[in-house]
This record gives sequence, structure tokens and C-alpha cells, in this order.
Amino acid sequence: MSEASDWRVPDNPTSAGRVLHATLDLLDRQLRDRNGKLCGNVDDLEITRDEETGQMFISAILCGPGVLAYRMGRRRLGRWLEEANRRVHDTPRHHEPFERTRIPIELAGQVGPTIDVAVDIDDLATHDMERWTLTHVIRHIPGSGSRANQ
Amino acid sequence: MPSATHPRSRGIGHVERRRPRRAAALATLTIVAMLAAGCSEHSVGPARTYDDYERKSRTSAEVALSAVETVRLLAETSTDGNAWGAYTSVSLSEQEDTLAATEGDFASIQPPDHRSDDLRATLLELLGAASDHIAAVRIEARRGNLGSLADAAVPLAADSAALQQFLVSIER
Amino acid sequence: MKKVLGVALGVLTAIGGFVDMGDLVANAETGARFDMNLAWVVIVGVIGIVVYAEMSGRVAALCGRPVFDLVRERLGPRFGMANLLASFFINMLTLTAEIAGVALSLSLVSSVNYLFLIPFVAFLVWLVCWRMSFVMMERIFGLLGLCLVVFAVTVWKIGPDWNQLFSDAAHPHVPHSETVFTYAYFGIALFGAAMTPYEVFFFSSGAVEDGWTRKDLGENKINVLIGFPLGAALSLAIMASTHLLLAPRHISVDQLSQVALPVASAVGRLGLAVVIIGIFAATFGAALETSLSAGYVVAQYLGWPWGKHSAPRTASRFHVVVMMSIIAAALFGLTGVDPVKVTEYSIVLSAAALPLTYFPILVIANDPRYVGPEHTNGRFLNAVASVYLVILVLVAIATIPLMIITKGGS
Repeated sequence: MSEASDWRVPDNPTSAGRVLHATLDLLDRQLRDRNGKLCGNVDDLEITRDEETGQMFISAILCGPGVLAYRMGRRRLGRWLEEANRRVHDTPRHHEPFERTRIPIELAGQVGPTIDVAVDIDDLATHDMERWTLTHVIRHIPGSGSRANQ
Repeated sequence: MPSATHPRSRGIGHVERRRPRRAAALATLTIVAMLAAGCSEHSVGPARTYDDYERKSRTSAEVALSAVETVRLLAETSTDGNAWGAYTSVSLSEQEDTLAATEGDFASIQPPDHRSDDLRATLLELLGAASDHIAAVRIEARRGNLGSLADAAVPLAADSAALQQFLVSIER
Repeated sequence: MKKVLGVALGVLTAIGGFVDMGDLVANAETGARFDMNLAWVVIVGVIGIVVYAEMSGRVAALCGRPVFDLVRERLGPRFGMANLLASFFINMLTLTAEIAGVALSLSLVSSVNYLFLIPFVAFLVWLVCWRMSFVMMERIFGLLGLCLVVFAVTVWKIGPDWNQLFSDAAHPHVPHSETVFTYAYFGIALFGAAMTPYEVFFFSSGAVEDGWTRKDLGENKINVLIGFPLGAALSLAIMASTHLLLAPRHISVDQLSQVALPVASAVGRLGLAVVIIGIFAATFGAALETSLSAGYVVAQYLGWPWGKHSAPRTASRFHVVVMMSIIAAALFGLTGVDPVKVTEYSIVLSAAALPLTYFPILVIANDPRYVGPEHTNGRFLNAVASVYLVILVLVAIATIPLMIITKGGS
């Protein structure tokens, strides 16, 4: 998916739905979680080949630390970011880090100016750094909790 | 299942990307180096010919003239009661520092030939006089004698005229 | 009535917010060195920013997202990254210049060396970004910036030959004491000062923070069409005041204090007080805008939560970027680097990076998927905007060579 897509609409799509151009309508779009919070961009897309029909289809949205770096060819940077995030990630390790950057495509709802996904922002790797910054930096500064006076 | 660009799969195009990246980095470094070299201050740096030296003396004289005239205007403004102490003294100090820096820079340039020696002596004398007179104004200002700065600035009229005369004399 | 008041407030804020350290330095310097021979550049520049600010405001109002946010998805992550890096770097230079400008204006009333004031100023800037509401921030500093109208009063008080003044401006030429290269270089600097990129990022993100919708499109147009040109008129007043009072005395502007000198000389103590308040407000407001812009561009590229409209807690990384930028800029300023020189470099480099900023705006404002089919650019607007894009590219190409040839404008 890092090059201009050679993917074309198959002649007999297995299900009805909107026809989207993957690079224009999906890639680099802003994601929103089920509560409307901004939770990253579509950094990359996962393509799977259907075993029976041989068709390629998008199986997941990838987003999070290092994913964009990989897509742009900066693999060492991507690996470094992934590692850094692994250290910051503080919930139990029953999820493989890889999984937290992966949003199965079935969870993607509204595709428009932003793509709404049916996950909580806490489930995503992209939020780890945000949470870390919040607890270790921002929370210590007075006045961080309340809205500024109008 | 891994994507085409995920680490667990083989990255396809990453090797070919190296060359354009290196070229881009090299280009950026070259531009930065050229900028750094090209944007250095005009009056510092060696002068190899008389013309070169004359050009540098012109720049220094122009800066000095600007400083002298600014101080004269500041003195006039202050005496007329149009500015307060902090503004006047801070501004005067700034001009004094500018002139001192120019004087120091010019003095440190090696004159390329004997003809330049005369030029150097003349200009340094002018810069020195201007420096002293500006310092006198600044001292008065910091003592709080804001109303009499115009008197302290009287010698600067001659300095200004002399610098302008100098600039005319080295014009071709 | 309330609506009229609201619009008036918007216009006044736009006027007062137009001038920043770059405009102060650029207009004062060119007025002293080139008289009114570069006045036309200010006019060309303001038309450019009016055209593009209207487009970016329209995009923000109609699709709820600022232009920079859309650059990555519409033009790709590589272009977005190039844009991000260039904008961020230039932003840092600008922020350093603005913080130094605030410190300098305070030093002119307190006699304390401006370097000692930089940490204090940086803290204040951060505090306002942290706690003050967006609207209040815009209003206060925008309206206080109107104090710079005293430059117009200065010109009026000097009582020049108006015909001569306008005639000079209308018939530009390269002065004898200058070369065509220095003329072009300062023209570019003036142009960069008028069309500052951070202005467009801030304006666009600000529109989203303020919650603009389709109903606000009209107000956006008025703010931009009336406010910015009047702001440009203020810039020209600065140029005229140094041309009339400093140029005849062979004074060239290399300190911020000299920018205020014509006002003191012509209008007196009250004028000096007003102009320093104006300079303080203009530079402080610009410092706020550039700090927030630093946060906006990074957060928007990477998809992080961003914005001042809700508590800092909800956008931690955004606020950390803002904080780090302020600290970095303050540290750079504390190295004793000449604020006027930093300002010059920031506006010239801004000019060089303008195509990166403005090209996406033109593309997105024409895209019906973002602004809706009825609100894409009309043909006339597209023609004007395209001409400007060509100008911007030419300016960008010429900048670095000119910088080298003129040795940074000496």
C-alpha cells in the first residue's frame, strides 16, 4: 500500500457497498473513536488475499507509532518508535503490540471527512504516549483539568 | 496477516529509496553551508585589495553615521521631553554597542597595502571620536539629566559631518 | 446590532493582529533604506494573504478541520512531512523573534536588559496558552494591537507632502545607493512578512477552535477583506514614518527601539507609550500564535487530539509540543542572537517556503469533497490565486541565491 495502488475493484464484488479508492478515501484519513475523540490517522492498510477466490481485500486499518515510518520506508525509525511505545505501554501484555495498531476493517463505520471506528481510544497503541504524557507531565502542572475561563 | 510494509514482511522498495534520500540530505547540507558562508557579516573577514578594504570602510562608516545620527535624534527627542529615561538610556546603550562592535571589527581587519593605512587611520580616528561623544551622552542620560542631552550631543554634529565627508571622499 | 458589533470586533481584531515583529522590522528597515520604493510589495502581499486566508477560513468553516490537518490526507504524507518540517523550523525562528520582541519592548520601559526578561516573557506566553480562553486571547491582543495606529498619527503629524509621498510609492525605482539585488532581497523580506505562513495555520485552526460553520462564512470574508488591508495600511504607515524621519538623517534601522523613535519624535511621550503598548501586544499576540501553530502542525499531521477549546488534559501531547517550542525558542533567544537578524531570516525563509504552505490551500479549497459543491473557488478567485502561486514559486526560487549574493542584506 505504500506505492500508488494497483488494486482495482474486482468484477464481481462479494458484497454490495460503496466503491472507494483506497489511497484517496482511506489512507491518511483522520480516525475518530466511538466517543468522537481523535485517535490518529490511517497510517497504513492491511491487505489480505482471500484463499478461495484469490481476491485481495482490505482487512484492517493500521495506525500507531512506527506504522507511518514503515510505510515511508524508514524502517529503523519505525522499529525505534514501536520499541519506545512498548516501554510506555502500561496495561497488561495480553495483547501483542502488533494487535493494538490494527483495527479490523469491520469496525470501521462512517467513511467521510473522518473515519469513525468502533473502538475505544484506550485500546489503541496511538493513545499510549498521550496517556503517558498526561500522567507524567501534564497532570503535574496546575490548571490542567479545567476548561479555560470564557 | 502482515501488510506489505509491516516489519514482519519484506519491505519492497526500501533499498532503492536510499539513494534519493542521500542526495536530498547532501543537497540540504550544501545549501546550509552556502547560506552560512554567504550570510556572514560584511565588515569582518580579510580584505585582499584596496577596493575591498575601501568597501569595508564604507560599510563601517555608514553604520557609524547611522549610530551618530540616531543618538543625535534621541538626544533631541529627550530634551524636548518626548521620551522617558528607560527608553532613552536603553536606546543609547544599543547605539553605543553597535558603534563599538563596528569599530572593533574594522580595526581587526588587516590593511592589504600601505595606501590602506591612511584610510584606516582616518576612519579609526573618526570612529573613536564618535564613540567618545556617544558615551558622553549615554553617561548624562544614565545620570538622569534627560533635559540637557542636546547639549551633550553637540560634538556629534561635527562627527556626523566628518563621516559624511569621509563617505563622499571614498566615492568613485 | 449585536451582530454588527460582533463583526466590528472581528475586523478590529484582524487589523490589530496583522502586524508582528516581522512587519515592524521589515517595514521600518525598508522605509529607512529604500524610502517608499517598496511600498507596492506590501500591497501585493496583502492581496495574497487576503485571498488565501479567505480560502483557508472557508475550508475550516465548511469541513470543520483546518487546512494543515488536510494536507497529509489530500497531498500525501511525504508532502505533508516536508511541509511540517519546513513550517516547524521557520516557526521556531519566528517564535524566537517574537519573544525577543516582547522582551525588548519591556526593556524599553523598565531599563532591564532584554535578555533577563526573556525567561519571564516565555513563562507569560506559556501561561496564556495554557489558561486563557482562545477568544479572549484573540480579542485582548488584537485590540491592544490597534495602538499601532499611532504610526498613522505620526505620519499625519509630520505633515508630509502627500502628493509627493503617493507619487514616490507609485513610481518605484531602485535607489542609487542600493543594487537591484538588495532591492529584490528586501522586497522578498517584506513579502514574507506580509504573507507569514503561521498566520494561515493559526487562522485556520482558530476558525475550528471558534467553531465556525457555514453561517460564519460571511463574517470570515468581511474580517479578511477589511481587516487585513487596514492592517497593511498600518504597515505602510510604519514604512512612511521611518522614510520621513530616519532616512533623511542617514539612520538605518537595526534595533527595535529605532522603530519607535519617529513616534516619540513626532507625537511625544504619549505617542511613545502607545506605540510600545502596541509593539508589546503585536509581538505577544504573535508569540501566542506561533507557539500554538507549532502544536497545531505537529498534532494535526500525526492525528493527535489538539486544541485549546477543551482542558489541557484532553490534548496532552499538543500542549507538550507548545511548551517545548516556547522553551526552545527562549533558549535560542538567550544565546544573545540579534533579534532583528533572526527576524530578518525568519521572514525571508518564510517567503522561500510559501509555496509549500499555499499550494495545499488552493487544492483543498477547490475540492468539492471538502468544501461542498457550492463553495468551491470561483473562476476569478482561482485565476488570482494561481497567479499568486506562480509569484510564490518565483519568490521561493530567488530567495536563497539573493540571500547569498547580498550577504544577508548588507
